[in-house]
Amino acid sequence: MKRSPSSPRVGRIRRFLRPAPYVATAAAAGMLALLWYSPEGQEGGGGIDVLNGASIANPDGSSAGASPPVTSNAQLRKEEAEARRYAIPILDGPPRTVVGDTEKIWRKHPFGELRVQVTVGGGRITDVKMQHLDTYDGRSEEIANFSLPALMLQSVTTGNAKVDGISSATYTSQAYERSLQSAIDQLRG
Amino acid sequence: MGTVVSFAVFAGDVSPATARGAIEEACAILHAADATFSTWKPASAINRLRRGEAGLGELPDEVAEVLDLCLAAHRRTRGWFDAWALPGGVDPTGLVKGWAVARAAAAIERAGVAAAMVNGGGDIASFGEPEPGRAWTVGVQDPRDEAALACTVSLRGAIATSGTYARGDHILDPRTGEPASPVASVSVAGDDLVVCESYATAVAAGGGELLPALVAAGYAACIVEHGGDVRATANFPFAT
Repeated sequence: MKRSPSSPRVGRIRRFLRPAPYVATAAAAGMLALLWYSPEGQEGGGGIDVLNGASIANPDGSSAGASPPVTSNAQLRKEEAEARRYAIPILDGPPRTVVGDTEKIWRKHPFGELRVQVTVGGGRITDVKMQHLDTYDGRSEEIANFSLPALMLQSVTTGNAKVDGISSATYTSQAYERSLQSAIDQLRG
Repeated sequence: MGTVVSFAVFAGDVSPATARGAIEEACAILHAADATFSTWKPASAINRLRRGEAGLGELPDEVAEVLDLCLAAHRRTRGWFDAWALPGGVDPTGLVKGWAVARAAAAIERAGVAAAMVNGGGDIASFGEPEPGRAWTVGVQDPRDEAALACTVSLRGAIATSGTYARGDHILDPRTGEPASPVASVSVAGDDLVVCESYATAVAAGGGELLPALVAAGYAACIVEHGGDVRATANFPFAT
């Protein structure tokens, strides 16, 4: 079935996307999920209408209370139900930038600290940046390379190659994720 | 699992509410997998097993399922993928992310969504087409430059990338316990993300001997060498 820009099918997707940029959070489980609307590709041919999202697992649940120990499938189902209940819209509104907490980087011993800033606008995350990074042994650059804006922003143009996603062997610093989550907690306000 | 998961979803003929519900279900699956399998959380089921506090019968069924997959991956890769290699008990971390991402994608597909791609920190499961007649286009990150691509892939199904560049010590040769880094990164594409992930990890750890078996099983591999050269099995679906 051919799908042209004017087909009802595409129209339906766009109606869904336009009013519904939102972030879903699941604070009770020490987790956070976010979804955002990517406007890429709505202009011109060859583009795509996508609904992007990210789900960030808080490694220790510290910013939202510890997760209960999982002991049964019933417990798992309960957590899934709670995760659903906490879906709320937050990315609407004008562009703004928030700064996450400063987090210690650990590698067996304290290794440094970092802080990220997140910019949102037009219903999506537009940038995630390492705002502060300091390691005790001068390996800041290596850690900086662990950042993941390219993965989060999903549609990356490299030369003439338009890609839907990137496959990589990422290692994401736990501190990076904690700082990112604290920034998004602020957006949730 | 300590990573970020992103979704690209084309609702197709299902309602917006159905598509949104499917994404939320996928997120719940990922969160539940993290709660069960995170080795960072002392109370996780996997840590209770590792500490000997609980047997498989007392833990969620998913734990036994994942350990079975680890065993299958160990056999498939002739020992190059080994969840039992490190001290501290079984650690399925190398496989859980792909397993959870595949489950999340399957939940979205069950909801009747036309096409979706779920990307868990570089491990990707997909179904359907972003546009009629066009497969998903996925870039393989250049191991030497985060902002560049080593190549692009026309993807139907799954792809996993494993490498030694993101964290120098994250792949160990199970036979020696030493870091292994014969290549910069290995990407494996095919139907099942868990199989892709096990082969990618195994080849990156030094299991280049597995390439013929991998191809025979319907999978394709692309290797980026430290010098930047890209080598691939003849069936690798490069995007043109």
